[in-house]
Formats: sequence, structure tokens, C-alpha cells
Amino acid sequence: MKTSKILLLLAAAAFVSLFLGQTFASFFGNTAYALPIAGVVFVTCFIPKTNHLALFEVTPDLSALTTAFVKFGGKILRKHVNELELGDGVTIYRGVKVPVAMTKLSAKGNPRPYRENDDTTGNGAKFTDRTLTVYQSKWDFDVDPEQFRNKYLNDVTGAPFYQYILDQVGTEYMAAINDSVLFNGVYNATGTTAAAIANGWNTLFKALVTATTLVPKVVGAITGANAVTKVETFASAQPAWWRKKGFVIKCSYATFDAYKTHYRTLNGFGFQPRANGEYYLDGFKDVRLQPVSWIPNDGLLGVVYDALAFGTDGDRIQVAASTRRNIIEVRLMMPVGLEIEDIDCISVSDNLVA
Amino acid sequence: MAKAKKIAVAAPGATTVKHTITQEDLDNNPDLVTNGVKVGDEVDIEAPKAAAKPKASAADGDIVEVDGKTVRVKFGVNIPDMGKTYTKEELVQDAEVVAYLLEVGSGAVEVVKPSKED
Repeated sequence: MKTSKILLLLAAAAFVSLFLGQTFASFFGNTAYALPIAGVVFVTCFIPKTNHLALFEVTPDLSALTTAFVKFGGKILRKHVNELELGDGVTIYRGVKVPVAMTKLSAKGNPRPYRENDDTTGNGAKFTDRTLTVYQSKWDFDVDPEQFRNKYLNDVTGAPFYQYILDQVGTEYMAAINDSVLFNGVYNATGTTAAAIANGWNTLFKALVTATTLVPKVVGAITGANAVTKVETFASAQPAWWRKKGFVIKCSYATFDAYKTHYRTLNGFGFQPRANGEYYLDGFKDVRLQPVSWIPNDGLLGVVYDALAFGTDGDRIQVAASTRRNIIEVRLMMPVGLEIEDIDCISVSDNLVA
Repeated sequence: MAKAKKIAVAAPGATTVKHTITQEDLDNNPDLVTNGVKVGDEVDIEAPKAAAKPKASAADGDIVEVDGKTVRVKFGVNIPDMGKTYTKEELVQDAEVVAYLLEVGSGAVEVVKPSKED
């Protein structure tokens, strides 16, 4: 650019700035504002122009596609992730629109030998409750079909792969809830991660342990050299009514693998599931060891009577989509809440809540 | 009763306890005989050092010293192998149980400062 053009540009910017400064200063009724306003406007003239769409990240991201001359193979291979895998021991509350009280009835006092007098002191019924609160979550994204232009994926009419994109994001949404929320989520309304959607069960356990309402059972570190002993110690330590009813011990896949390894070492043959596909402990009545993908750490979680509560609101599980010009704006939403129905029906090992 | 004779090499100000000399003491400690100590004499000896005792930090009530390690007790537990339940406060006062928890790799305790040997 020639010097004369630069000078002309500067002069024009200065003129416009001074004019706007004077105008706004008059509007505010104080001419002292004229120069500062003009200065701000002048500087603003030279802020590099940016792509404001960067504020709204437009997808799909095709930056990793090959730019060589190729033809679409006709098949989209999708990323595989965990499912939302609740498993046994979980009660699902659907349609939770307001916090739900989970009420427990128990008897107070105790029976005693007969006598003629009234002995009602300390006797009767007692109600307690815990509250399941469900929080809404969302996943926003925009789809610009023009992103496909001059890419081999554009060899499809309409909005290419829109349904696949919705389905894949939805699948990964469930995976994020499974992996980050169910167990170790910590609710934070202003958070930006999946883990902030709701308090996970382990977060609730930890709070109960801190409050001394829940006392973990010591089994220590579980390895391939001790897992069978540790799991049986944990199972044996449960109350008799648990033993009579039967219960599930949930664990990580790493703990489950350690159990299988130790079981083989002890018995010379593998730990096998029963016909229903469940793995039962030897010598226990209906006590199952069940690995779940949402427990990432060492430790054991015993559950009887499906005491883990998972809440959602089916009416508000939504895929809201709208079009802004040619951009498809999508918001996936799913309400999620975790709670414990009855603390007496939960047992945790020490390392689970460490 | 014979007058107590100071024979222990305890440092000045060290805690001492009374001890009645036995024949075994004399057999194992020739220097006692040299000093004229006889069976039945009552002497002051240095008090045996106490076993690892929990020491709560003034700044943090969760801390226990075990075998030279500084250990933090995180929460109370039920120990099926012992058939006992301990509160966090009880664990802080019981270094032996904390040592057991360390041995089994319990998450209820954590070493915040290893011993010098470690």
C-alpha cells in the first residue's frame, strides 16, 4: 500500500472518529467526552477483522479428511463408546419434573415381654426420606452443510449425514453420562464438563462417609493375588438380611479381572458365569459380582433391593433443532439425577470412596 | 529393701522405672556385679521406649505417626477381619490399626510423608 493511501486512510479514520466522538459527547451533554470517545473509535477502526462465526463453532469438522482425489466409500464407520449401562441394583425414576422424595418407613422401639401397663414410650412408626433431584443437561452444536463443499463427503444431496451426526452425538452423550456423571459427577450449574451435570453416586457416598452415615468396609487394595478373598470378605461382612435376600456387588472391570485371575490361581479353572450370564460367588446365595463401565476405580459397591436411584424426565429428553439461514442448530438435552433410595441397602469398600 | 542404685546409662532427665534385679540380669550384665549389685536389689533403669504411639498434629487432627511415616486418616471404617468399627477419631488414637490399614492398602489412610527408610 502506498504511503499516500495509508495517510488518507488514517485521516479518514481520524475524521470519522472525531465526528462520532463529538456526536456522542453532545448526546451525553459533556464535550469533555469527545476526545476519549474519538480515541476509542479510532483504535477500533484498526482491530483486525475476524471471523465472528468462530464464536459459534460450525461443524462438521472435516479438517482431518484426506484432501487427495478420492471417492466416498459409502459407509461411515462410527466411533464406539460405552453405552449408558445402569445394570442391576438401580431403580429408574422417569418423569422427574420436581425433586422427588423417596420415603422410607421403619418402626421405632422394640417388642417386650407382656405386662398390663402401657409402654408406648419410644415406640411407633418413623418416616425418613432422601430427595432425588434431576438436572437438565445439554449438548449444542451447529451443522453447516456447506462445510462439505469440495470434499468427497459432499457427494450426497441435502444435509449430508445429518441423521448420523445426530445419532452419533446422542450416543456419545449417553457415554459421557455413563463415564463422567453416574459415579464421579459433581454437580456445578456453571460447570462446562459432563461431570458437572449432576452428583454421581460415589460423590453421594463420599458425603455420607464424611457425615459418618455410611461406614466403608475395609478390604484394602484388590489385586490378582487376593481378589477372591477380598470380595468374599466384603460379601460375608454384609448383614444377614442381605445374605438371605441376595445382592449384587458392582466393581470396575479391572477388579473383575483381578477376581478372575485369583480365582484361576486358587481353583485351577476359570470363573464362569451361570446360564443367565451373571457371575455368582461360590458358596453364597444369589450374590453376583458385576463389572460396570461407570466404576473406574478400585473397590466394591454392594447393592440390595435396587437402592441406587437414577432419575430422568422423559418429556424433556429432546433433540431440538432449528435452521438459521442454512445452518442447522441442534440442542440435545437430557435431564439426569442420581440418588440413593436407602442407605441401609448400600455398602461400599474403603478404596471405592478413597 | 536395698537402696536403689543408679546403674542405667540413661541420659540426664531421662524417664526411669524401678526394676528388681534377678539372677538373669546379673548373668547378662557382668558390669552389674562389678558395681556390687545383688539379686533383689531395686535399681532405676531407663524406661523402655513406648511403642509407636499416635501423635496428633496440632494443626491437623487427622495425622498419625506410624513407623516413622506421617499418615492421614481420611474416614472411619468397619474392619470385617477384626469385627470392629472405628470412627476417624478412634483411628487417629490407634496407631496399630492405622498400621494394619496401611498394610492392606486401605484407602481410608494415606501416607503424606514417608519414613526416612522409605
